[in-house]
Amino acid sequence: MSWVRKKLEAFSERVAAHEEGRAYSYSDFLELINQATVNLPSGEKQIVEVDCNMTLEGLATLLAIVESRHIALPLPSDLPANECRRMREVATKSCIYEKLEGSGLILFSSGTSNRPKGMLHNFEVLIDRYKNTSLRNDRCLQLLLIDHIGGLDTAFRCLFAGSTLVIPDRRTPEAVGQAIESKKVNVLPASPTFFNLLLLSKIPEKHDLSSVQILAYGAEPMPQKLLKKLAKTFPKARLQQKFGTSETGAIRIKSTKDESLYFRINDPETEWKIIDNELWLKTPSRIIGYLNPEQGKLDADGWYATGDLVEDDKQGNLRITGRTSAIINVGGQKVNPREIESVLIELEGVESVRVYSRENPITGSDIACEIVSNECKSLSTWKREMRRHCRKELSLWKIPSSLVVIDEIEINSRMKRKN
Amino acid sequence: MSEKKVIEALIIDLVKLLAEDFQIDSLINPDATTLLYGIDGPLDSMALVNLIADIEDAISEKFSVSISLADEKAMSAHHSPYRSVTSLADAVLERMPS
Repeated sequence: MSWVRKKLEAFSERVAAHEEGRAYSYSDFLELINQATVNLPSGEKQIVEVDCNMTLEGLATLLAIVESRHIALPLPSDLPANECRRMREVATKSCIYEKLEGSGLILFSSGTSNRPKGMLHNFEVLIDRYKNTSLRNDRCLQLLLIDHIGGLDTAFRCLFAGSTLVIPDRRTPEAVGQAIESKKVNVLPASPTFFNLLLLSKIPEKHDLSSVQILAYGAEPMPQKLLKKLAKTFPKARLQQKFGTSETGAIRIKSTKDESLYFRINDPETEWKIIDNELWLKTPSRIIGYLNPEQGKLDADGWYATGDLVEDDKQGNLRITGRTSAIINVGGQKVNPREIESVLIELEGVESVRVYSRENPITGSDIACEIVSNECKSLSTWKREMRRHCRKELSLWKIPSSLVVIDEIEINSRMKRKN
Repeated sequence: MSEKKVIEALIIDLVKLLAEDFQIDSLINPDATTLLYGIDGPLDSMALVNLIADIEDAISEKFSVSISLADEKAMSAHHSPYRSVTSLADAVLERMPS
């Protein structure tokens, strides 16, 4: 990993990040890496938890882990204790580490069962994808945490280009507006939901956002209407789509035009194909495998079925049209309804439950549930009991916003439950 | 009590319950002028989605009418209906049959 240090050393007094009122130079960042190295266990390869709430320190720890050839497990410290416990369990019980040479990175996404779905990257291979990043003078806003492939991609692209990461005090439209204005941010990567909130909160009218030159969107489908609004609100900014999956890492794509949802895969290291409208990718940075092999199967020859449905204009331009699965996407965060159902079914008096998504103009989708019960309670009582129960087990955004009590759960003609 | 006061009282009760359920300390004692969402409003988008669903459900339980507070009209309004208790009460009244 000598190229990482060489690059960072060459950037020495450039500003690596603004976080919590402090500017960090690249020399400061190297010092954080050195400090993190001292605190790592010596000897055999181990799983090391990384706190994601302080972004730059978290990134320094991640790079220290790469050098020390340990395995990083980034976890935001505000996750409910039970969710953390389930993630740790999946991570520690896995037998996959024997396949790992060098350092590892564990990322979690929503699983098909009630257990979180963990996956293992070869961290060096993932980082090597940024080796040839050229020098840039960007000031890039870091919105996502570094337990997410999108957050890591933003951070690595920026830091290995000698640019500056701007980390807002809070992940709210207002705090982002303030950070853009005060630090003259020119690259703003966010999900369509967040851009929508930014417009709804009238941030462009309250703050000077004229420094923004690039709006980078991804993680969920972008509504055409919102794209047009963004183009109108930021007339001087370019609109760029981003694409990647936890399994493949981020891949380089290029939007065909600013106001078009079509993009081209512009990545010499990535092959792609479409089977039954689903996009398949082959990248050098594909995961080694899932921590629990029952949770997913990978093609032996390196291909990965993304689960994203695409439309191909026959000239090599693609547009994402939806997901193959029923995973619910709430403002760019994805959850499998089964995970929530497994918690709801434990609520006293609930006999049967179905969790599903509903369209919502604020977050794209929201989570709704139907329950079957013989107990006679008012809707508001049910809701409160449901929330209190879920709060102990799930992140707040995974708690259903709507609940209905029904007589029975519907099934389809094949005797399967209707989704 | 005027219609608006009735709706405001209902929303205030729901905000209190939401604040307890989601542990939003600044909203434990709301009044009609309390800011909810946007500048200086303590709700994030998920809590807002929950509050809207709660209000829609409560209106349906109490008045047997079905309204939608997250519609195109609300999203494109010059002044966001979600910014305070009183603006939400106005939005509810606009959507109630006379």
